[in-house]
Amino acid sequence: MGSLLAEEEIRRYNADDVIIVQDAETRGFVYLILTGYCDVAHHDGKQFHTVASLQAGDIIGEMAIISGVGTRNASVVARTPVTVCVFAEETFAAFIETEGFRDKLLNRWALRPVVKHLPQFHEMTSTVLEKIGNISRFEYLDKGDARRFDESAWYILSEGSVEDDEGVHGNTSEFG
Amino acid sequence: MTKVSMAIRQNSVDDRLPNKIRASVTCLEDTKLIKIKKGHLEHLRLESPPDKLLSA
Repeated sequence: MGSLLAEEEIRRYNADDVIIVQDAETRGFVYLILTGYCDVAHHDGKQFHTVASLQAGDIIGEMAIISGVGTRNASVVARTPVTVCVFAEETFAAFIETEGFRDKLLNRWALRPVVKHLPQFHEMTSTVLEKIGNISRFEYLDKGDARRFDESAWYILSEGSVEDDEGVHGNTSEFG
Repeated sequence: MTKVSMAIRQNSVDDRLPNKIRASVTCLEDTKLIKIKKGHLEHLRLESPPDKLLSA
């Protein structure tokens, strides 16, 4: 963390300012929201869709580092006045490798669109969906595997099918 | 309403839910599960009061 803070820069945005533009080159920065709220908007070629809401403590622009893609996959717009801390991509990349955050970020990125479309989370706010993505993990099983569940966690079937004494269970079934 | 969504919305992650445990299942094909630890879900609820969980 010390290496991150040594190179940070504080920036302030007004409501409706565009912090990141979809499809633009990354320009080498990652943003940590210190105050305020942002919307993540994706343009599908026809119209914008708000895909997430971010707030203090959330990071913007980290996926370009994880994925290695040189362009932004969505726009980020300040919904309120926003203060961010800006880091160099190289510094942030070294930080997440050192601290072992890379897998967590990849997991969150993969979970986000899946969680959003599960009926369990229908109509929940994008902020809550984002948090659910943060506390969820994928678990992969092969055909023929047996899985025993305990009461410490919930499991939602997102792909595939399983069978127990009561029959076959498909997508969105819950266990545990 | 499912167990998970009910728990998030109604302030409960304990055994008051109709929480029948399927002790063991067998995968009929390659399968992907999403695991949510109940303790983490409780933490989420405390951070986000029920009336703030749903979209307007």
